[in-house]
Formats: sequence, C-alpha cells, structure tokens
Amino acid sequence: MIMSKPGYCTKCGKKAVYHRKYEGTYLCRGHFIQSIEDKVRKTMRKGKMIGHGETVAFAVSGGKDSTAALYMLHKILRKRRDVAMFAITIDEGIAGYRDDSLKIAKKLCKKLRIKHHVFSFSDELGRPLSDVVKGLKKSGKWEGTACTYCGLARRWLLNRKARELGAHKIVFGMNLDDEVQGIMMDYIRGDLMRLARMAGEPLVQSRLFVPRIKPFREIPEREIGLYALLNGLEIQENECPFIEGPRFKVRDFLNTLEAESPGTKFSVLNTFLRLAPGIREVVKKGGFELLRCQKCGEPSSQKICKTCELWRK
Amino acid sequence: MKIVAELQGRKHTLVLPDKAKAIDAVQKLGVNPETVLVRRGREIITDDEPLANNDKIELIKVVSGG
Repeated sequence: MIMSKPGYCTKCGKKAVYHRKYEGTYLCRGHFIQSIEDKVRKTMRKGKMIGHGETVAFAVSGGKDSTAALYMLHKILRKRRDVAMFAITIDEGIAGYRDDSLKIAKKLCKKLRIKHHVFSFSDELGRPLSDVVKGLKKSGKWEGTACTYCGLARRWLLNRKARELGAHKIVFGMNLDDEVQGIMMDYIRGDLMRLARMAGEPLVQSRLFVPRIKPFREIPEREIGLYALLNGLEIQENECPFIEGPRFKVRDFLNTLEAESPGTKFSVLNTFLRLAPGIREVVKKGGFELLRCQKCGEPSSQKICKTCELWRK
Repeated sequence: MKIVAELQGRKHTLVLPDKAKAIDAVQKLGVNPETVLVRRGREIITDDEPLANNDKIELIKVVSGG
C-alpha cells in the first residue's frame, strides 16, 4: 500500500501529472493513461457498444476529443479481427479553423492506417458554413445560431455517409462536459424529446439511423485533453470563430462550479440518468412517429427535416 | 516570486507570493483551472505543484468549443 502524498501518485508514489479532485487521487503518467483506458473499456462493455463483426465509423473532426477517441479505440480494438474501422471528417467550410484540424485528422488516420473519408458542406449541401452564416445574416433570414445550422447538418451528413459506407456504429468523441452541457441545455429549453434521446437507446429504431456511441461520456474534457497530450496527439487550441449562443455560457458556468465543487458534472449526469426512464415514459406517451423527409429521404419527425428546412430554403 | 506564464502564444510576467502553486498563476491570469493544463519544461504539473522564482510555465487550453 502506497501512502498518499500530495503531488505523488496514489497508486505507485511516482511524481503525479494529475490531481483528480473529485476522486481524491493523484496519478502519474502511466496510471493516468491506464485509468482513462480502463474507464472507457468499462463504459463500452456496460453499453455493449461494439458487437461481433461490426463496422465502426469514427466521426473525426481533428479536435482533441475525436482524435483521442480514434487513437484509443484503435488501440483497444486493433486486436479484434472481427471489427472493421474507418473515419469520416465533415469539412463544414470554416476558414482558418477546420483547415488545421482536418490536417490533424488526416495525419492521424495515415499513421494508424485507417481509411479516411472527407465530405464537405460545399459538395453535399451546396455551400460552406461561412457563406450560410454571411448570407442569412445579410438577408435577415437568420434563425438561431451558427451552431444550430452546423450541428444539424453535420449530424445529418455523418449519419447518411456512415450508413452508405456500411457502418453499424458511429463513434463520437463527446465527453462528460459535452453530455452535461447538453442535458442542461435541454432542461433550459424544456426539450424532453432530446433529453429522452440522450438517455441511451433511440426512441424509435430505424435502419436509417446508424447508432451513435460515446465511449468518453464519463470522462471529463480536461482529462481527455491530458490523455491526448500524454500520448503525443496534436491539440488544436483555437476555438471555432462562429461560437455563440447559450451553450457556451452553460459551459463556463459548469466549469466555474466544477472548480469550486469537484464532482458537479458527474452529479448532473448521474441525476439525469436516474430521471431518464421517467422522461422516456412521458415522451413515449405523447406519441412519436418517424417519417422520411420529403426532400432528402432521411429519417425525420416532420415532413421536411430540420436540415433541409434550414439549408435548402 | 516572479514567474513567466505563457498562454496561447503570449508571455505574461506574474508576481506571486512565496509558496505559490500552479493554480495561483492560472487564477492570476483570470483563467478557469478546469479549462487548462500546466506544463513546466517538458512535464505536466498538478494544480497544487509549488512554483519557484523564475519558473517558466505554459498554460495549455484543453476546453474547446465547436
């Protein structure tokens, strides 16, 4: 038994690289990496995320979360001959931002020998995000935020391309912070439908939806950043120039709370997971029908999906 | 003590009390400690790592958006 001393690994006594305050532990480089990989393996087992003979698509933006997910899951899955992997990057057309991360994604895929597909908003939706933002703001037809336009189209395109390329699952690098921000945003907007979907299984099964898996769901963003750094992965430090909206105020608020009261983010997630079965029941009672968009043929709860409504006016 | 802290390519000279820790430098720059990691030389250091006079540290932003 190693005596715990501030600044030194609780498990082996070596110099620590991380103080995990919500757990009261210090971890050296080796034990930190091991603890993250063990947690991810556990999350994947618990959620039965990747089954026998499946093809897995990685949604890789080139940011630290998705590159860390690709790096780590490749490490975990590479010995499984029954699992096939490829990566998809969506180039939204954000000058000075996505160009850098696209290079990072390409480099990592090449290093890991993973087939990499790149699809752009320009080719698939006719315009890059930069043009949409400029054009709509100028014409006064602007609704919501750039993140609304971008997020919808990115998910729409990823699902469509992953399905066409034969994926059974799409891996997203979303971490604990992303999950908790999403939960808080859905509470704020009163969006029970989205909350119910965040609980795990989709509300309606459809072969048109490629199930999304989030192995980093229980790992704080800061720890993913450290994992990426310790493994020599490149980190893009600049933020998307179009960031706006209440989500980022929620992010800052949660980080302030977490700094003052470690464990806050886990508390929000765990409370939500306890409430989730009840939320799903309420939503199911209200009825939910899955249609196909009359413009693009993708699954939608409306006759015209939100992506076509916003992008194909 | 006096230290130099680098954040997103900009160097800041900070005057901190004796026995200051890494987290004190982060907070002095008005940065939330939840959003950065601190590197001294080639090593990542914990928030409560004591700093020494003339230390050079780098704050690495790890909380992104978009």
